[in-house]
Amino acid sequence: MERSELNLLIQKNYKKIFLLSVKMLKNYEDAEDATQEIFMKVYQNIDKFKQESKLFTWLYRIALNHIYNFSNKKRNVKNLNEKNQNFYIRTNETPEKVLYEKELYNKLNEIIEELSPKQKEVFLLRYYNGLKFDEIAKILKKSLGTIKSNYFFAMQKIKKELEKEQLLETKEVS
Amino acid sequence: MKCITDKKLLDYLNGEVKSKQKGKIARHINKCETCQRRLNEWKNVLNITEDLVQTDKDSIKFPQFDTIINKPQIEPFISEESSFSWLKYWLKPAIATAAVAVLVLFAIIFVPLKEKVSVNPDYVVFENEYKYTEAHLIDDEYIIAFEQSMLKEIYQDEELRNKILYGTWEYLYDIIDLLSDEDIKFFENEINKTKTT
Ligand SMILES: [Zn+2]
Repeated sequence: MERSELNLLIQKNYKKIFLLSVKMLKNYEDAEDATQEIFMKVYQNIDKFKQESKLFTWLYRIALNHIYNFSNKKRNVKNLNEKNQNFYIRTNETPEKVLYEKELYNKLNEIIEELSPKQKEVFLLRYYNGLKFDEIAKILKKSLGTIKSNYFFAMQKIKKELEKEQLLETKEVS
Repeated sequence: MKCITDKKLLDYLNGEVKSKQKGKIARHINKCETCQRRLNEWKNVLNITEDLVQTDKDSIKFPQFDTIINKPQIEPFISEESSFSWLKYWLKPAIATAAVAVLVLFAIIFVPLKEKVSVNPDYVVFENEYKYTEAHLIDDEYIIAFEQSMLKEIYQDEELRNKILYGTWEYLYDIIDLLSDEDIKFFENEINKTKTT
């Protein structure tokens, strides 16, 4: 494994790893620390990298491992208050629409928090990191069926919650 | 054809069904109003979810790459270039071989104990999934052994087995979590067999 190759991997993936850290740790400072430590670990352990697993799979495994240990050690004192987080507003929308979207957005973040750790993990990797199901299966060392089940349960929960809050009806199907 | 399960509908929308099955599902949806409505509901959920995730991602401020990589703790690892790397190259397998030899010896001596030796663990699994408290390192072998033992348990429990084979699909989802792809295929085959006979 060439060092330049490793640097490229890190450069390509640091945003994704940071995103995963933010969503898991719910705190920007912690996420920045964790991301740094993850890449440090990658450098330290590069000779343990087994060629048969894809480099990127290996990176995600280290990242998840580290994030879990991190949240273990450090119960976030300052939780990122999702409701006060900058909400991205598209300018050409009516106030009602903005309000509706904001409500939806807060609700989704609440639901994500209520998912089981396994479901949350799969949901984040799928939607925030844009990974395919078979990639997630490789990273988590689970069968494709297991990953799809976790995903299904997560989506079922999201659907149920959105229905309960009647947030589904207003939006038209395209 | 029976109505399509929610799980299949989701797979269908995510492009995760094989083309043969895809046609079957599409034909059913064309004929069945209930499934049409359910498909649209799921489409809606997926659209909203993807939209919201995008909104969420847009609102996150990413740190500069430099601030991540140029921290003092990381630099030594980047610049560190061992001139003895060739030595490592030869030494590592030698040490590994010696270690394996010791382990084998150990295994021979302590076979009655049946202690499981974990090799190169690199993923953490949590015993208590709701609390991230007790973590332990496991490897592929452990996972396979665990899944197999679960399958055996299911086999041996007649009531459970019947519930899977003759019960509803919804019940199966609780157990599917614990099974490998081959196991799932096996159960699907068994179910199809019982349906056709
Ligand atoms: Zn139907």
